[in-house]
Amino acid sequence: MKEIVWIAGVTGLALGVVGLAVGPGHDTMTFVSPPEVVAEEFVRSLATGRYDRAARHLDDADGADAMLTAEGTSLRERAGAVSQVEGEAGSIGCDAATASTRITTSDAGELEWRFSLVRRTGTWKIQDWSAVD
Amino acid sequence: MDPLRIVVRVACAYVLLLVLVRLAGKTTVKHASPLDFVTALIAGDLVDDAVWAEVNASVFVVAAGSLFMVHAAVDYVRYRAGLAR
Repeated sequence: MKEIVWIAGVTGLALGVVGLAVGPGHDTMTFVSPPEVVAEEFVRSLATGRYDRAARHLDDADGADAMLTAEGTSLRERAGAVSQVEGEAGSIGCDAATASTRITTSDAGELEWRFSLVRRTGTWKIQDWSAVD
Repeated sequence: MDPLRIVVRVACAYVLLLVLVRLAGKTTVKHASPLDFVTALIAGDLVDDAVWAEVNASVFVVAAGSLFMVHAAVDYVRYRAGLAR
């Protein structure tokens, strides 16, 4: 029983260290997912129809389900199957960042999407994105 | 991705798992039960997500802590029930 209390204590301590690094330490890329990884995960979720997971990466997820469903369906209809998604870092500031993703598809070849992200309670959230022609 | 950040994540994940494994009372693989093996596999998968920053470090800490707490609780119940080897 003593072990459980110790494990809980160590877990709490580790959470505190992470909290200090992300909060007062202003860590934006080591203990939190960096912007390019957030963008990559968002596109992967969208491409595979997991819209609830994609919505978690949005800054304003209220009522985003319909918009994400339309975006995901449009991507699959236009470009076919997505075989690879690769995130690339852009500029990064204290509370704002940009990133891009290269999406390899079966029908439309390679697509590029650009993202702007904002930092909310330590984590990066997608504020806006657009396809690059 | 910046290699230095990967090094930091690997080191932190390793130290946390080392402490949790020791606290859970596991020092050798020789007497490990099948459940210890399953727990090790799950912990390994958690590390993968943390190293590539697919989840925030706080998520990894909570997941690893919960995993080892449940494992320690099961060991305790098995010990109390006289099922431990």
